[in-house]
This record gives sequence, structure tokens and C-alpha cells, in this order.
Amino acid sequence: MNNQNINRKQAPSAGLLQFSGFPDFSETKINNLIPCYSFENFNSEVVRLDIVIGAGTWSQQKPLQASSMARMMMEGTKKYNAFQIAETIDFNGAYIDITASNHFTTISIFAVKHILVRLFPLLISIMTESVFPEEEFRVILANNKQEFIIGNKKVLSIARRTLPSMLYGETHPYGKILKESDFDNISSDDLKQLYSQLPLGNARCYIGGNMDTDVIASLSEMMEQTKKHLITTDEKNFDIQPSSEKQRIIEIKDAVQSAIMLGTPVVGRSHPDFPLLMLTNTILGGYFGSRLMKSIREEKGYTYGISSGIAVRPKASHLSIQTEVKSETTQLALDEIFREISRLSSEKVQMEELNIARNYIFGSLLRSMDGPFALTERLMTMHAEQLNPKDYFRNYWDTIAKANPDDIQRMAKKYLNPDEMRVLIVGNKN
Amino acid sequence: MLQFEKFTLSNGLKVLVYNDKTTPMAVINILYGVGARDEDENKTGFAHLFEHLMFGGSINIPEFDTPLEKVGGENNAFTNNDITNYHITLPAQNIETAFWLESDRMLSLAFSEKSLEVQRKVVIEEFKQRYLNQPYGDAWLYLRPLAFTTHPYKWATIGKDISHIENATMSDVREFYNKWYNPANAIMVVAGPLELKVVKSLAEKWFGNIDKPHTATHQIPQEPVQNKKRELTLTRDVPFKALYQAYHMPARNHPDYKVCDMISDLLSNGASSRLYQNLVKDKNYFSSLNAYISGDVDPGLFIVQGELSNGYSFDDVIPAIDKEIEEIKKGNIHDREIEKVKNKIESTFEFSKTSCLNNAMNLALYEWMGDANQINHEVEHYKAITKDDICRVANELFRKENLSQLNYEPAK
Repeated sequence: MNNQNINRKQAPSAGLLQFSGFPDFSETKINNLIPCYSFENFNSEVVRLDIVIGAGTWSQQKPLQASSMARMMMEGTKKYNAFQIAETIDFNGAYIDITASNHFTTISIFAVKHILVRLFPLLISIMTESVFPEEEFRVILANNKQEFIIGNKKVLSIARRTLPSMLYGETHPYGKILKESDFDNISSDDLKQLYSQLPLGNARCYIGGNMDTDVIASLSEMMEQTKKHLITTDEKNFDIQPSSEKQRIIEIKDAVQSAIMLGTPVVGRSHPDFPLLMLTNTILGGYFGSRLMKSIREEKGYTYGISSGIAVRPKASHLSIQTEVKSETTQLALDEIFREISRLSSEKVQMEELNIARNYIFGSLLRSMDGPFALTERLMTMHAEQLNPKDYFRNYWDTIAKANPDDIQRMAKKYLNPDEMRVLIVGNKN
Repeated sequence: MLQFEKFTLSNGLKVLVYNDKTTPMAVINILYGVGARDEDENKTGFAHLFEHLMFGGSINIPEFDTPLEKVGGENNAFTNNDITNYHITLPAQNIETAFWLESDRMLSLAFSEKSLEVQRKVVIEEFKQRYLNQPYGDAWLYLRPLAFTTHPYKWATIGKDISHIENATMSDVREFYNKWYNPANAIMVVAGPLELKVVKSLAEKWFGNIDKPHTATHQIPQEPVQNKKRELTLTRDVPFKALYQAYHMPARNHPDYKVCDMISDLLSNGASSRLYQNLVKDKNYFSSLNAYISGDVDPGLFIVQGELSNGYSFDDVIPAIDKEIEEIKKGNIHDREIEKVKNKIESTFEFSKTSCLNNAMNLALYEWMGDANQINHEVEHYKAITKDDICRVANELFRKENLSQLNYEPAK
């Protein structure tokens, strides 16, 4: 069997990557109202349920309101105190996470399958009758404030908190910079007010993994009680006001590394350019073999890592580049980043390089749909932007499969204009 | 239950096959039995620097990443004090590419000067990013040598001193590779929708003729018993006081290791845990407070780590931690609390099993520690732990003379 004649210089033959389409899932309407999507999968003993409620930071009147409400929903209800809630979840070996994003409040539950329905009485209480005790809120807020202050000692955290304001303006929900004083200006009444307007009756449910037959029936029964929360929400419009300054430096004395971030507005998933833009981003900084990684890390050793990515959100999206570099090489690294951005427009990418990036994207797309939990997440992302997953992923794959070097150059010229980039440096430039 | 098959090639490479038909992706995980504890005290950080060099091209393949990316794959690696672990995930149809790449770098590296130069710089930036350029980042650089006087756990994986990385030479690199990167010092796990006979034939084809004998053994000086409390205070540009308490605990294969793990869960796993309920929420002495074990193979550390709430001193809060520990020592624990912790351990195992990559990494680690099948008995071992075990181990563990304590004071 031992074959001495293998040619180690030659890569083994590999098959073309194929995409068989976004997998089937079932869709039912709970109480003729709340859509429930499920991916059944009996390979493991665990199940995940997500309840997505259409209100997030976009709807808040003051900073921290939505995230604090989400955090505090589990800190006491009319039926259970905070300890009882925590103990019940822990005793059942489950996890419940409530998070607020820009447009949604999402309740995620992970549990071993027979446990899930046992948590429903607790869950409905959390959704409909949380009491937001002021004293407990003070403690949690103080802890969050300390965590925020510690974050503000890290160059990259400061950069991440600040860059969106340069792209969207500080009055836009996507661009707001959180300040230390915001922690002193919020009370449990603010949380109660937002909570009372949660549009629970228009929630969506997603369930993936190993589920008992009665789980949908129990879920329906539970969600029945949200009927009285049929609230229509109207999202306000905000103007995007990018900063007039193109470059901002936040000086941190003695920092041994500087964080560099660049950002520019781009289109989101619903735009026909998006697949090619993703491919362009991948070539620039979206994977280990990208141009930025090769140049800034693997050629020059200025950094441990550099990456670019697209932050896609329902109302506006941006592309950003981020890295932490040796302080002395801050300017050199920045020049190099700009050189790589310009090169995408000025010269055509080689077919070989395009193919590597293309296959990398294909591989990561296949990985991102591996298993019911991952599929649940993909589906939630699609629905957040009113996209049909079957059509979207088919088109995404096929468009990238056909992409050629002209497409990349066209995308770079259209979206990656160095003069439009906002640049933020946090650290010690000299 | 993780069902797997196992065979050993004539060169000593152990291969485990975990057939998982539920995923279209395959994983190859290779563990090399070498970590920072195997380093020379004057050349620390080497195992980790070496991990970087493993991506700098092998004898027949100039670049590791590109051919993998071309077939839709992704890879990464980590080094800790005990092992170095490399993993690839790719569409199962292209699994042979992973065999080709991994076998070539086990056969021989390219040893390029350029790669050494660049990766040295990259690792120095990694050192700064992780340890120097953030608040409390250097805690483990000080806590390790405080707790360990002799055992090589006294230095961090990144190295004891940046100069060790700066001064690494190509001959050091070659020597390290020849000593440790041999088939008989490696465990390969192949996981995914692949039959045993397919994996066997690919393993023979690509790894079968790598003839590199392995003679090195782990020469690890063991840590003497600590008999006096140690304490160190660092004054740093940090916003709040922080506390790190480290107690010596048993080795990974010792039955009491799991008891320590369970004690750390009683203290701080989940929002209903003792430290969180009593000291973070109720008294609010800490803005965050955790107990955890370091997870080392040799006798490692049980850690209690927290950031103090503004306005409290160490003298205010340490007695409160001691009181919580005293309760455990005295056995003031409800049966339901023990049951809770066991349930959590069981479900954590179930969640971890949903990832093919996790399964592959764990099988490799357990096999390296002695027997991959032990992974299937972990939960029952945890379930057999009694309140008496917890009391006994807590009394052995939590003794002042077994404690090393690091305090952070904010600079004025």
C-alpha cells in the first residue's frame, strides 16, 4: 500500500466546489400570526430557539436604553426574582441570552431537547412581565460602566467605538459614540418605557436542532400570550452625516501599538453589487491570503493581524479595515494600506488570485451553513433584510462563480475611493 | 458517545477516524506533543514561534495557505504550555489536499530565513498586542513566575522575555523541529463523512513513508510544594484594582482535577453561582469575579480573578472571598446546587459535541493524554463526585501557604 512514487510537489486533484442551495426548512404560522421557521436535525441532543422582536437601538430615546433593557429582562419578573431565573436556567443546563442590536431584540435559548419546553413558563414571564428593579439595575450598570472604562484603555476598542461616528455622524443611531456619562443618565423607568412598547405580537421564531414533537405546540401556546402586545412600530429616519475631517488621531501616550481603522460606505446584501463587492473585500483583506495580510503582516511584519470586512445593516452598510501596528510603523502601515486600496482600482487582479479568493468564499459559505444552529443564524440575517434565502444564496454563489478581473476593478473604482475613506488612528503615531 | 476508530502507522503516527456523516465538511487535526513546558529556560517562546514558522512553506510546497484556500479550506493552530495543535476544515471531497499539506510539513520545512525574520516581528507584535498594550495584559507574565519557581509553567507560551524571540536563530529552529516534529510524537484525527478505509489509504500514502525516529522525552522539572503565601503588587496605568489568586492544584489525570473543576463551577459558573450572586451582585465588591482552572496537563492552577468595584480596597474584599471559600470547605452546599453544576457540565459536553472540529481537537488531546475513549466517560466521572469529595479537595486546595496572589494598583 505504501506508495513511494507520490509527487509531493503536485497538489492532489480537487473537485469544483458545488452549492446545492440553501437547505429546506419548515415554516408555520403560530396563532395565524407569528412565523416560526425550523430546521429539524437529530444528530445531536441539543436545540436552539431564537425569538426575534423588531425593536432595537434604533428605537431608543437615549444611549444604553435598549441594551440595558435586554440585559435587565432576566433580572426579575412578577413571578420570579432574579436568582430564581438564573438558578432555573443553570439548573437545567441551559443558556438564555437576550441582546439588543440596531433593529432587533433577540432572545436566544440553547438547551438539551427535553429541557426547552420546561423553560417556557419562565420565558413568557421574562417577555411579558419583567419588573426592572432599580437597585439591581444600579449594580449592573455600575459593573457595565467599569467594563466600558477598561475598554477605553484599549486602542482598538476606542477605534471601534469611534469610527462609526465618522461615517454616519453622531446623531445617527449607527454612529452614536457611547460616553461614560451615559451610564449616569439612565434609570429603570427608561427600560420599562421601552419594554412596554416591545412589539412581541409581531415577533419571529426560529428553532433549530433536535426537537420533540410537541415543541411547536408548546411554543404556540406560549406565544398566544403575546397577542396583547400587537404593537406596530414605526422606525424614524435619520440623516447620515459623515464627518468633514477625513482623518482623526486620538493620541494615547506611551502606547506601544497604534490601532488604525479605515471606513467607507458601501451597499448591503439587497444590492446587486454585493456579491462582487464581497469578493473584492476578500481579495483586499477578507482572509489570511488577502493583500493586506500578505503585505502588512507576512511581508513587513508590522502587525499580528489586519483585516477588512463589511458591516451590513438594514439601513446602511460600510466597509472597514482594522489593525494594530507597531507604533513606529503607524504611518508606513497606513501608506501601505492606501497603496493596496489604490492598486485594486489601478491594476487588474490576476485570475489566479481571484480564483483563490473565490474558492475561499465558497468554502466559508459552505462552512457557514454547517449544522442547524448555523442555518438558523443565516436565516435570521436574511429576514432582517427581507431577503429570500434560496434566491439570495443561489445568486450570491453564481455571481461570484462568474466574476472576472474586470468586475473586481469596477467594484474597487465604485466603492473603494481612497479620497472618500475616513481614517482613524488611536495610539502613538510617532 | 463519540465513536471512533484508531490505527497506528509503522512510523508511529497515531490516526483516529471519527466518521461524522452529518456534515459535508471534513477536519484534519494534528496535535504535536510539544509545548512551552518543553522549552529551554533561556530560549522560551519557541514552541509558539515555531507554530508560526509551520506556515512559512515546507520542503515541497512553497506556501501552506494558498493551496488550501484554493480548495475552499481554512486552517488555524494554537500553542499552549503542553501541546501545539493544527487544524484544517475543508469540503470533504477535497480532503486529500489536507493530507498532502500536513504530511509535507511533517516531512520537512523549507527553513526560509525570510520567514524567520518576518514571523519573529509578527510574534513580537502579538506579544505587544496581547500582553503590553492593554490593561491587565501582563498579569500572566507575573502570575506564572510567582506561582511556579521551578516547573516551566513559570513562563507564558509567548515567552518569558521578548529578547528570546529576537535572538532565535535558524539553527535553534532546526533543532527544535528535528527534536519534536516527528510522526511518533503526533496524533492525527480525521473527522467528517469519510470511511475508515479511505482515511487509512490516504494516511499510508501521504504519511506512511515519513521515516523520522522520535527519541526526545519530556524533561520537566516538577514544582516543589509551596509552603508560604506569595504576594506581588503591580502598579500600572489601569482604571481599577484587580486581584488574581492562584492555588496549586492536581494534574489533569488526577481524579481530584475534576473536583477542582467542579468547585470552580460552584463558585462562578453561571449567573446563579456563589461569587456572582454574593460578591458581584449583592455586595458589589467586584465588577466582575471568576473562578476557573488553568487546564494544564501537569499540576496547574486554580484561579480566582476579579476587578474590584470603584471605592473598595483589597482589605475590604479579600475576606469576603475567603468567606465564600470557607463555606465550600465546611460543606455548606445544597444537594440541588451540586446537581445543578453536574447538569451544567453534562449539557456543556452535549453542546461541545455539535462541532466536528471540537470533537476532533478533543479526541486528539485525550488520546495524547492516554486514551481518546476517556472523553466518553468524562460526564460519568463528574457525576460520581460527592459533597465529601468537594469538601476534602477544597480543604487541600484552599490553604494560605498554597496561594500566590497578584494585585493591580492603579498608578496615581
